[in-house]
Order: sequence, then structure tokens, then C-alpha cells
Amino acid sequence: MKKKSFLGLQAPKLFYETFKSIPPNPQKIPIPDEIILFHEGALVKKDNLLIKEGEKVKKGQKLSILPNDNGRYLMPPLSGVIKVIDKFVGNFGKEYISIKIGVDKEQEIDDQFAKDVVQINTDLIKNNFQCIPGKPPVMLLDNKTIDRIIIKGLDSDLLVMTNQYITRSYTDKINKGIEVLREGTGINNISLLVFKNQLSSEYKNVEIRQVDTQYPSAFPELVMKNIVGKEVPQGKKLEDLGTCVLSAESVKAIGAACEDKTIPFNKIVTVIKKDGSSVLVEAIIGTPIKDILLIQNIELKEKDRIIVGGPMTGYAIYTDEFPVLPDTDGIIIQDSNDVSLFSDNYCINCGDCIRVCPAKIQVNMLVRFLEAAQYVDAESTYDLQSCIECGLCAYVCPSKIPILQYIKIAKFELARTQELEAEND
Amino acid sequence: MINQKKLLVSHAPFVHYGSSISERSYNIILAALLAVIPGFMRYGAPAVGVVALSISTAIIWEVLMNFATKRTISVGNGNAAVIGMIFAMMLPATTPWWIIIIGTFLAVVVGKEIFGGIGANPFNPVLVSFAMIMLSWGDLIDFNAALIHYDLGFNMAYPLIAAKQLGTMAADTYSIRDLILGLQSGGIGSTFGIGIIVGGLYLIIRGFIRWEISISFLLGIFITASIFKYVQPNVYACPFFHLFTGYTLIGAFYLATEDSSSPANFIPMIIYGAGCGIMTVLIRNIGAYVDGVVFAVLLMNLINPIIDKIRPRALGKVK
Repeated sequence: MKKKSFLGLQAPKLFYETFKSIPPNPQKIPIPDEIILFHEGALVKKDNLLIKEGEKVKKGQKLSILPNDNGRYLMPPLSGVIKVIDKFVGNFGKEYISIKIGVDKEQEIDDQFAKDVVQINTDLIKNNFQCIPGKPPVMLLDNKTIDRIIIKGLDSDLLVMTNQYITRSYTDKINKGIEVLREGTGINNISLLVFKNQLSSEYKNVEIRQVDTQYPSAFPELVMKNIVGKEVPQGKKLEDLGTCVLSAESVKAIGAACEDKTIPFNKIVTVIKKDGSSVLVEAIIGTPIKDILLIQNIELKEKDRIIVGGPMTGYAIYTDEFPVLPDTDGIIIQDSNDVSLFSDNYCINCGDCIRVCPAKIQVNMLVRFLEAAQYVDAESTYDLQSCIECGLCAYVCPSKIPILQYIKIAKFELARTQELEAEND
Repeated sequence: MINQKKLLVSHAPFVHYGSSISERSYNIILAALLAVIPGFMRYGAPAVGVVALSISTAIIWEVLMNFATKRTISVGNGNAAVIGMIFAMMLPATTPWWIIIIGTFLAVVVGKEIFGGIGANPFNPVLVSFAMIMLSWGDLIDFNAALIHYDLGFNMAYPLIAAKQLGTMAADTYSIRDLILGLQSGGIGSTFGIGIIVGGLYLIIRGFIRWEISISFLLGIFITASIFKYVQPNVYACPFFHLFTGYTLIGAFYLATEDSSSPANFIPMIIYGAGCGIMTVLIRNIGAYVDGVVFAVLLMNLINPIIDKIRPRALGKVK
């Protein structure tokens, strides 16, 4: 990562990792004895669940977990027996149901998909591709207002190169996936997003859009503004503008599934080691991170940090038994000596954050409101909802204020209050 | 999970650029030394005493306030030392010890800590203190009176007083070259123009102060003084005289650029800097005080929160 240079006249610039030649094939991680799956939702009582401990599940079997789950389901990537059902609490108290499956020696595959795949339509996409690598937001595609699909052939965060690698290496599968999406959803406006000067010829039937390599230009909101030419209004999402973003990995998985008549569950993950070098691995979804560390010979010490995602937007986890999730593109192992800590210093009003903010937010003023927990004022006066959460403000802050954390808490609290108010009305 | 290693969990981003408050403070002190050391050489041991007492008492006041307000000890970030340093740079070498102690009290406690500490002060703490000292014990820091026993081989009359009282004739007796080289009476660290400029450029290049404020400050002075000179050439001093006398340079590079009391957006920084410059010359030429920098910057500090509202439109903001 870039450290402060002697000259500081300009705001610091961070650039995405790009590669000229395709890196070696990812190292395959053997099938683990146990896998862990997460399903979004609160575990109130185990009796309420539609699955039980001790139940046998097949690979690719569609499992309903909670009653009234709005069409959401879980698909085990390997067959086996459900060993433990537990709850897991993530960032900002977000609850998940964690399901541990003891993996069978002989794999048994559910044959429903093979029957369904003869006819490609929205239902096929909606009913089979919710848990594939890349975790495509397939429920959005069912929405009739979506008229544009953007495929991200790159990763939003630094150092991670999973989607970039997939775009370069799996041209056929992605082309097939694009065909399936066209046929299944009827949406013709599909574009593929790549870094400048990265690829040209392999993709003929899709519009190629090139983004700058300076972080955070690959963030969806900035892509919308700079490439598509539409600004996402404060507090709105891309889907409100009729745009759905899919990762290249999910499109590849859709293509591979329809070609091979079986749903793939192999996830490609960029592992960034303690020395900063990165390597690609291929693991089944649900594989605990400790299995990957073991094969990569990464020794974990006390007070090291495991980060899921990239260095700017990822989240730190407290155990190496955390699994590879469908949307885990990067895993960073940070040595305790390299850990940068936040402080309880005050904002000194130097303005470095303002100069680096891609959303042009007055971060110096915003942070004052956030520190005082005045979230409504922060939203109305200092553009809290314009924040795209790239983390650059906290990256440059000389006071080392956890600005991004403040912003996320504020957004979380505002959303929670709105929900409560809606309930009371 | 009982035998788990304890991992560190915190929030994104997980990397940092490496900048820090103390780095900023110590670089400002380092740059200021370029102007202060020539002051030591000129005025000798008393000047060293003033600077040392000023820095040390500023730090002590901050520690005492940390204890009184039950906050973590914050002197490590160097901000108190910077305040002490810049305050001392503006004083004559003969300042009595008790003025320095009161001055740093006014700067650190009244100017900064009671507002909530670093970053919360609405005015530049050094100037808050200096304005109060100027109004209360003006005689003791009047350079003509304070430096009366010094004969350093150049005209020891304070240039701005001379220009104010005797007009353009007196101002013309100072050569611009002498003024830049620091051959003029004045504060310990505010006369050696080259040292202040080099130190200021260093801070600008390293990104610790903003060029927008410094340059617009100097341009504001130059243009306003030029207009005065053009309209009544035999009454007002030339613009270069204004640039290199009094607290102009220290104001442009060390006083107006103080983070907390200056704007952070581009256009506001230009307005703020130019405003400081224009006010300085107005006070010098038609006001009551000989040097306008102190009050000009304080005045612009006052309107800083309003002008800093001129800002670019945020992403996705609906007008």
C-alpha cells in the first residue's frame, strides 16, 4: 500500500492492481470435512426452522430455511449431514443463521437443476442462482424496472483481483452467461466493465466500458456517474435507476451452470499474504478460512488481523473458522506489526479528507456531527447519504479518526429509525 | 473455538497513509526554526530565553488543562509547542517573562482548550493571545521601546511605526533587500524574510499548510497596497514594503494557515487569504494600529465558518 511520500502538495492517489499477463491458475483447496453456510435472518427458535440438525442434504438442493423468507433459499455446495445450526451476528448486529454441514465422502447431487435448465427464463435464474459464486442479486432481475445490467470485470477494492482474473481467463463461460442473461431476462442493455487498456477483443457481443485505474473509480456509483452519465441521487440505489450490477464471477458461474447442466460452487478468492504478495485460490463455498491458510502456509499469530474483502472496504473477522462466502473475493492476512489503529483524536480541520473525497462531501464538518451522534443533521446538512463508503477519508486522516465507521453507524441508525417510524405509523 | 488465537478486529479501512498530527506539528516547528535561529543570532541569549519559556509554558498549560478537564494528555501531538513557538516568534527579545507566561496561558487555555482543544478553536490561539497582550501591555511589546538598547548596525526604528508616523519618506529609507535579509527591527522570528519564505514553501510542498491561503494572502496585500500607492504615491508605502515588514510573512505562512480557524475548500481559502491581505493593508494604511495582520486574521477567522459554506455539490445531491 502507498505510504505518504515526501511531497504532499496533491491529494494521495491509490491505484488498482492490474496485470498485463494472466496470472497462474488458482491453487485448488481440497474439499474440507466440514463446511459452514450463512443464511441471512434471525434465529429465534430452532423449532421454527424448516431444516433440522441431523438432516441429510444434497449438493445443489434448494433448502428453505425460514418460513416467509420472500423466496430466498440456501443451496448446499456439497452433500452431507447438517451438524450444527447456530446464530451468527455480523457487523452492526446483522443476524445470520449459520449451518455447519459434515461433508460426505461420496457426493450426491440434486438433479432438479438438470431438469430445469432446458428452458432458460427468469424463473430458472431466480430459482437456482441465488447462492452461486459471486452471489448475483437475482431477485432484482425479476424486477420489471431493471433495464440495464453492468457486469463488473474488476473488483471495487484494492489488491483484490478475483473478477479481473475471471474476466481474462473464462471468456467462453462469461459469453455464455451473458447469452443466458439476455435470454432469461430479456434485458439487452448489458455492458462489461474493465480497467483501461486491459482487454479488447474476446468479448464481441457485449458493450465494453473502461474505467480509470485510480481508486475508487470502480465503485458502482462512480461508474454510473462517469461512465453511464447518470448520477445516483442521495439515498437512492442503483436499482432505482434501473441498473443491476453483477460480478463477472457470477456471470461466469451462470454460464458454466447452463453449459455443464450442473451448478458450480467453486469460488475463486484472492489471498493477500502478510508480506503483501497475493495468490489466487479456488475453494468450495463454505470452506473455513483456516483450511486455506494451512495450504498456503500462512501462520496466524495472536493479534493478527483477518480481513474479508479488500483493505479499504472489507471487514475484520474474529475467527479463522469463518467460511468462504459466495461473495468473498479477497482474504487479507495482516500481520500485527502492520496493523494501523484508529485514535480518539479530534478533527483538526486540515481538510485532507475533503481533497480526497470522490463524492465531494465536507467530511471535516460531517465528522463533527457524527461524533455528536447528530445523524439527522449530518444527513440533511452535510450529505451523509452521498457517501459511497470508499474509506479514503479515514485512510488520509492525520487524526486517525475512524470516519468510515462513524458514517456506517450513522447510516445504520438512520435506517433503523426509519424502520421503527414506519412500523409505528 | 476455545483454543482460538485472539485476532484483532477493527473497522475498515485497514491501511493508513501514515500522516499524523505530530508529524504536522514538528514539521511546522522545524520550518519555523529557519526564521528563529537568525533571530537567536541577532538578539542573543534573551531571544533563546523567550522562545524556550514560551514553548515550555505552552506545553505546561496544556498538560494542566488536560488534568483539569480529565482528558488524555495531548501534548504529544506537538500542537501546544507550535503555539508556543509561533507566539515567541512574534515577540521582541526583551519581553518580560511574565508576559510570556500570561501570553501562553491566553493562547493555550483561552484560545484553544476552553473551546474543546485542537481543531475546535474558532480563532487562531496565538492571535487571540497576542491581541490581548497588545491591548493590555502594548508598551512592553512596542518594538521601538523594547529594542532601544540594541544597536545592530541598521536602522532600529520599527519600519511600520516609521511609515505610519513619518509617511512615505521614512518608508523609503528602508531598502527592500535589507528588509528581506532581516535587517530591520521586529519580533524574534518575524524579521528574517528569506527564512520564513523558505520554511513556508517547505510546509506548502510537504502539504502541511495550504498554498491557496498563503498566496492569496500575499497577493491581497500586494494588490491593495499597490492601489493605495497608485492613488496617493506620496502618502502610502510601496507594496513591497508592506510585504516584507511587520508580521506579513509570518501571517501568510504560519498564522492565517492555522488549520482549525481557516477554511478547507478551494474558493473559501482564496477568499479568506485575500481577505486577510486586504484587511491588513486597510488597517495599516487607514486604521489605528501600525500592523494590521493580527486583527485582519482574527477578523477573517470570524467569518471563516460562513465562507467555508461555499462548497462543491456533493455526489447525487438534488438541488
